[in-house]
Order: sequence, then C-alpha cells, then structure tokens
Amino acid sequence: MTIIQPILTILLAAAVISYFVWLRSRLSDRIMVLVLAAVAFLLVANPGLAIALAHAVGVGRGVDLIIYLTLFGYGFFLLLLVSKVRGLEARIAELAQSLALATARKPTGESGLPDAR
Amino acid sequence: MIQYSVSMNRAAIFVVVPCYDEESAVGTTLGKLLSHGYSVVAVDDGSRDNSWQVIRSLAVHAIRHPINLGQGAALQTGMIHALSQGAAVIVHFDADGQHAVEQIEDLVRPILSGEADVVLGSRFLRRADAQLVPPLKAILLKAGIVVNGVATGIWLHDSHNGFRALSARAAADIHLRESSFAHATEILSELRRARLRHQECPVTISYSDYARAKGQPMRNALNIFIDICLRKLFR
Repeated sequence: MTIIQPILTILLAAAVISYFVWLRSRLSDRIMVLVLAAVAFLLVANPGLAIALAHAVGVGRGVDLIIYLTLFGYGFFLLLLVSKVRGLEARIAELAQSLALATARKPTGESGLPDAR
Repeated sequence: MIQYSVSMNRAAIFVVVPCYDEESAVGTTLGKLLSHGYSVVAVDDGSRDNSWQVIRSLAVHAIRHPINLGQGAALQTGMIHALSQGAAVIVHFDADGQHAVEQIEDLVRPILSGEADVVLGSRFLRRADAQLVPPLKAILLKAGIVVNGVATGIWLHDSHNGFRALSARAAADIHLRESSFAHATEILSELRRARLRHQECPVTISYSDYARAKGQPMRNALNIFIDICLRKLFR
C-alpha cells in the first residue's frame, strides 16, 4: 500500500459522509453518489484496475481515462447546476411578480395593499 | 376570434412601459401617452433612482418589482395587470422616449381590424427609418434576424424591436419566462407555439443621445445569444 491510498480513502469517506449528513437529495442522487464512491474506493484500492480499463477502451494510461471521465462528470454537473439556477431564478421572478401585482396602484391611487410603496 | 371595432376607445388600449433607472425620461414618456388618451401601465423594474416616485405621481397603473428582474419579466407583469383591468389591446413601449406615441395607432390598427393577433414594429421596412439606425447596430440587428429565424422559425425584417402590439387573446396566450432581453426571441417562439397571426409594421426609432446611452450595449448581443441557447437547452 502506498502513502496516498489511505489519505484518499479517508478523504473519500469524509466526502460521502458529509454528503449524506448535510445535503438533502433525491433517492436517485444518493444511489448515484454511492455508486461513484464505490468505484472511487475500488480504483484507489486497486490502481491496476484503472490501467486495465484504460487499455480495454484504447486509452494509454489509467490516469488519462480517469481525467476524461472526470471532465465529463464536471460538464454534466455544471449543466445540472445551471438548470437548477435557472429554475430558481424563474421561481424568484414569479414570487416578485406576484408581490408587485398585489401592490399595484391604479391611476386613482387605489392599491392592492394599504402601504404599497 | 374576437373582432374589435376599429374606432375603439383608446382607454381600452393599454400601453405597458417597463422602466429601469429612467427617472429623467419616464415622466415625459408617460405624460405623452396619457395626453393621447391611452391607459398606461408603468412597471418599475426595481429601479435604484427616483423612477418609482415619478411613476407614482402620474395617473398611471403603477407597479414596482421589489428586485430587478429584467425587461421580459416587467413586460409579463404589465401584461397580466393590463388583462386584469380589461385591456383589449396591449402595446409594449420603451420608457426612454425612443418610440413614437403617434405610431401606436399604426401598430394597433391590424389588431382592431382582426387582421393580426400581434403586430411587430420594424425599423427596416422603410428606407428612411433604416437610415436612422447606427451602422454597427444595424449589423447586429441583421445578425439577430438570422438567430431569431433559426431559433424560432419566424423570419422578420427586424430583431429585438421593443415596439409591438398584442391583442388581449395573444397577450393571454403568451407567457414570457425569459427575464432578460432574450424575451424578444421568446415572444416569437410563443407566437409560433400559440399559432398567433403576426404582421410587421414600419416604425421610427429615435436614437437620441439619451436613448443611445440607455439602450442595450452592443456587448448585450452576445449575452442575448447565450440566453437564447440556454433557453433552447433548458426549456
């Protein structure tokens, strides 16, 4: 066993535990995190596995294969995040619009709320 | 299909004016609209200056967003309010004074006569109007025509012209979710989705120093393009 293996194992375990303790998410997300964590643990414990997989798909080094997969993962995560942010923006806009309409002032000075400013 | 009388009372024509930091121009713009007898809905989009105080002091329907949401959201808020007040026709009109109040009649006429559900203003239908457009802006607008055409399937002579009129039915059918300036493209998508009949109408845009300073910066063209792409990706 190399020095980096127990370090990576501890960091991975800490990340997974933090996820389940602090982040609320759907069952599908939790299963995905568990699968990814299991693959990561496997690759840390057995570095030769990454090399074998890389050779099997025509990539020269195991580390290159992991980098490619990580970049793909980051891209997917980014799209997911943008989608969620846009959804959140739309909900904030709806909320602000509802508030604005409820306090609209008519030309007569009449408004939806007594203290509409 | 609802047919409206061509000689409709102007009070039934609601002009929605989105406003963001326009304290020096919005009073004049709203005053002109009121003097022509239109019903005016002014939507202050969370201005940081005294625009809201100016709007409140006038005999208009005054609405204020608690935070800045963008022109598309302001138009949507104004349209919802106008419909709730019995609007027969809704006109989108800029607060910075670059649109001509006198041309509202031209925009509204095809709707009142039942020929169209939506009438879109165009700077490129008359040579004299086109010559007023600054050259660089004209190039970007022409590029926008292509982007809009590819994105929505509707090919117009102008793009991102904020001067337009909608029948009440069209306004009720259109739901603007795009808060930013990309709403102009979204309106075209909505036109197609709701199968609304549209026409273009020549309009004159006045590029005063103030309007140039307040208008969309050229770099916004790129932002609008990105917004359109994101909308295509995440709608």
